[in-house]
Amino acid sequence: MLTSHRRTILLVEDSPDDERLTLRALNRLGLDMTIDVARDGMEAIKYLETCEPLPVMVLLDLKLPLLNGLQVLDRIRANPRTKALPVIVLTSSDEPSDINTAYKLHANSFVQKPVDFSEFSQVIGELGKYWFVTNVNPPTG
Amino acid sequence: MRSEAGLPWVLLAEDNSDDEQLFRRAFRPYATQFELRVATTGPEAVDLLKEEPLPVVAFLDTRMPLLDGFGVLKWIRSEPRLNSLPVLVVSSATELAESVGGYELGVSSFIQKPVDFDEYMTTVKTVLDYWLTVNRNPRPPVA
Repeated sequence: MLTSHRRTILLVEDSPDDERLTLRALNRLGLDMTIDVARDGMEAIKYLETCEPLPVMVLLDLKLPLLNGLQVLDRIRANPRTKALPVIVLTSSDEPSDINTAYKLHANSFVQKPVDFSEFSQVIGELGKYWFVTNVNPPTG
Repeated sequence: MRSEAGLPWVLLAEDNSDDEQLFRRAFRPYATQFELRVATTGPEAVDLLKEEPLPVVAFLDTRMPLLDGFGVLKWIRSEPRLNSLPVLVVSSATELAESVGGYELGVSSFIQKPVDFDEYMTTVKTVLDYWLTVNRNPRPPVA
């Protein structure tokens, strides 16, 4: 029997405006994806502990309530269930210390959110296309 | 940080000369900002990575003589100074189960090499556009 399940992306984002812009830009790609949203670090961790199947990738803001993005990343990598999950940090920060720490904690990629609206849309579009189409994601089993 | 001596650089580890030429062509728009250094074996890639400064990103073909892409990746992730380096593994294998191994070893991204030449050219362009313009690469410490 052929089962197809839509691939899921987890967006971890506490700003409703950025959430809306990101969802719009991703949905515009017309790819067969579901986007789940967690609004703080704890919600993201809880989601990843129990979701079936795993998302194919996590888009992770760093500035989050309860548990910040770097702490979330650290926990994602510490959990065998999510150790290999592609995590793309998507944040307004371009602090070298944030960038370097994210990579030290084994983020796959670090993208700065453009301030400009149309640039934002373009960058998210390229990000979505790269990680959803070009990159071969680990099987989510 | 860019050194006075040269441009930031990109490592390609690729033993197939046709694929290397294709990559160089796709790389041309970036040649004023980045230098491309090519290793044709795993050990050669390791030698290039032992130097300073580090590249901004490394592309490793899985199939190389002496030490394959996964071997180089494993070495990279064991070296504290290289641990943060964005590393892409490019595989021509049809079995994508290879990707599991790659992610377990800490690959940043896993790409499948299309058989079709034009398609591969497009893939390389997309990959370079993402990793050299969209992605923020880690800054190596300044000596």
